[in-house]
Amino acid sequence: MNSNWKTVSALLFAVAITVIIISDLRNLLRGEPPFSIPPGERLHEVYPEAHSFRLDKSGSWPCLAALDAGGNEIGAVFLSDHLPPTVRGYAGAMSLLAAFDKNGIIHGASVLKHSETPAYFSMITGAGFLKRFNGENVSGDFSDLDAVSGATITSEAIKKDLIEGARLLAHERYGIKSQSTGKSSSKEFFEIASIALLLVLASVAYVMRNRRLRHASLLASVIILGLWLNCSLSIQQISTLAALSIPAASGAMLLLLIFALISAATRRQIYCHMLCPFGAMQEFMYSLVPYRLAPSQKLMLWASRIKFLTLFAVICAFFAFGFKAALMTEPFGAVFEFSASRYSMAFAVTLLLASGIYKRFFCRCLCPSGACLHAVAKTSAALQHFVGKRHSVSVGTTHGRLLNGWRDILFVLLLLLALSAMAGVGMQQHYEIAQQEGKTQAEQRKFEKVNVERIREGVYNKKLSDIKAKYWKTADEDE
Amino acid sequence: MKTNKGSAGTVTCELCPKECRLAAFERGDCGVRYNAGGELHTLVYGKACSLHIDPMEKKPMFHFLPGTPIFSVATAGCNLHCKFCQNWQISQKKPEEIDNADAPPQFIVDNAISNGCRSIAYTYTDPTVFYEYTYDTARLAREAGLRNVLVTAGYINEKPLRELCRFIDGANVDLKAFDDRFYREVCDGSLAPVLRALEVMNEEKVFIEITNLIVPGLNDNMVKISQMCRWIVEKLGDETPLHFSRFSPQYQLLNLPPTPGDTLERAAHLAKEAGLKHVYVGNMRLPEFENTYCPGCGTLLIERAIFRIQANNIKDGLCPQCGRKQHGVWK
Repeated sequence: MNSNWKTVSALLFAVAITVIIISDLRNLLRGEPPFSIPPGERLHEVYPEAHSFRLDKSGSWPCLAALDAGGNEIGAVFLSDHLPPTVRGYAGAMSLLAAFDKNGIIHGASVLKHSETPAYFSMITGAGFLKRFNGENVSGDFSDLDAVSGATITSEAIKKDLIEGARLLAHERYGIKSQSTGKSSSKEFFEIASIALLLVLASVAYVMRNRRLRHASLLASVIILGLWLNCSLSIQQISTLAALSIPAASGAMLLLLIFALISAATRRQIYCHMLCPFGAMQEFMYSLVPYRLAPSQKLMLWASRIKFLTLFAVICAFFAFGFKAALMTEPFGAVFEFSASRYSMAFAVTLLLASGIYKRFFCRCLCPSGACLHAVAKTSAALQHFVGKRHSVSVGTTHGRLLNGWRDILFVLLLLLALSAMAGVGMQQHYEIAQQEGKTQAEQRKFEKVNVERIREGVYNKKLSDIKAKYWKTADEDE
Repeated sequence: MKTNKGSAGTVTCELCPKECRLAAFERGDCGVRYNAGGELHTLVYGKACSLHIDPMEKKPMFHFLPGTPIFSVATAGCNLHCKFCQNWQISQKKPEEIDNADAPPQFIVDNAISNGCRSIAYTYTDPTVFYEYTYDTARLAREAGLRNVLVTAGYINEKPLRELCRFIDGANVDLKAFDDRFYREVCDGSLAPVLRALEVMNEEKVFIEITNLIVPGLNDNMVKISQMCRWIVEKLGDETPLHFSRFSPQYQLLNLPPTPGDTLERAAHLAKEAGLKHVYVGNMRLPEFENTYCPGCGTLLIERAIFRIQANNIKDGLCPQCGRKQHGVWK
């Protein structure tokens, strides 16, 4: 049975890697998307005072010149895609539309495309974060503009990258000089320093194998990674990395991600055991609940393999079929982000309750990120095996029956419940994303389908319409 | 068009004076409206065969937002069949014979705005045949602050025209000849409805400019031309811009020569004599009839070179010299 699982897992691994590589190659070969103008409504939304817009590709970066009723340029509208640096939120690059006038006063900003969890993103829009930019001067000091709590990474990213891009354009078009952003980088330094200290604590706790230190590290991480920065490791960042793009502009997040991957590659699961805030919550629940569920050894072994299957499903769903919602099935955000959707909250609560009777239920049985780190460790082990270094294989027992009594059946039911809840969360997120994007996608489709330039290239079809006409009457009986 | 016993399901289209009576699944003379088993349907709503951004002077509209780009839309089909049609490749074809692009009304408006156009033209073929499309797009354009310009032959019934004119700011009407026989023999239409349409547009305060394509040998009768000019002066006003266009052999009149410059010049002078203040000649460079001059003091107001504006001296719609209010839509 063990060797069967080995072949199966090797096969799944090979398929997953192939899917990722194919998806990356496709993205690389597709190259730069053609320059597309956002729909007129969005342009007027960010710059209501303008009468019309004119595409201007003459500068270093393309932008849309906003014109008044007399045809004179009064300002510029730009897409953050076309200006460096790329705006990266928690989950990856986002596309923002912003407008400022000739004096550098910002008239509006809106997000066109993003890959964040819908609930996370609505925290930013709900707090009116983007509206706070209106009326500020591009060259001014934005340090007093606070990020949205619970969505620090994305709001800081918007603030920093959008303003940087705007300043470049403002300088080129209107000669507006800006002072450097000394203050915000000190905040970032503080963040990175805290994370670095936390990582040091976790590593020390791991090496010393000290329970007290481990608990301290977990507590510190709940506070720092969970409540303050809300940036625990998630399959979203790992996937963005696998898709060959930098996950987040925040240095702290990047540091954490690299640390987790390197420690996994050296076959030391420091992140999972010392740092993961959700793992800490699960252990805390376990320590509270007096009852212990003890399923059979064989069942526990098989249950711990299920997480590799969920990881495989998430990889295929995202890389092969493009379902962004597959990356949002983890409950980390829901626990610390109090405005998450009901389903994510319910899922997180179910997992915490299950983990009260079975230690680290989610971590051991379902967590795709954990499975990914484990896979990294196992790959590294296999590679080391090839170069002759010895390694220890940890296996559970494979003797005996799988289901040995009511405890095992209860455990299986719990697993099934959790799996279906996870799938449910994925579907619900997908639905919400579709809702949010529905309107923009319909607009985008209208636009991408036929652009005046592309009509000249001949993007036509022969379909006819069949709409009721006006001005007719049913003919009377013939004379 | 007689039908056998008015069977259930015969409809009469009342959009244009032809008033085609259609049996089930039969198409009108324009080729784009058909009887879908008891109800009249249009085959070209939202299906543009031409989308282009043109200079305003190409319509030709010389006194309407000069020098601005105008977003032009057209679908297949036309209710007239002029033998000299310059756009016959799309007007004398059925919609399934040419390629159409999906362009619903909101799309047109969005595209016009983001391409920096302040007006939309319904042109190339005839907005009469894609009436519903024009109506909806014009309404949305009005709401978005854009102007609407019709470039049409005016062969449309009064009631639909009046309803459409609510959203129309300018129109260029093709008055092909002042001769009903020409309309019948060469264009398969008639003159009276076109004249009536012009009067209706004038009543509805649409800014009108008139085009007359002179085909040598067919409608170059100078008597008729001056009759036409006098009619325009009387009914529409002496400041209505009139464009004489040079014919180039097309479609079914490949045997005729292009209009001689002499004919165009004579026609233009006759028009001036009849009292028209703004007379232009198109498709041919006659410097005297390319620019706009103030009817009061004769100052050069707008200097043009084919479709480009070389100079525009009009300030706030007034002549810079004598302050006379100029006939046109300048902002």
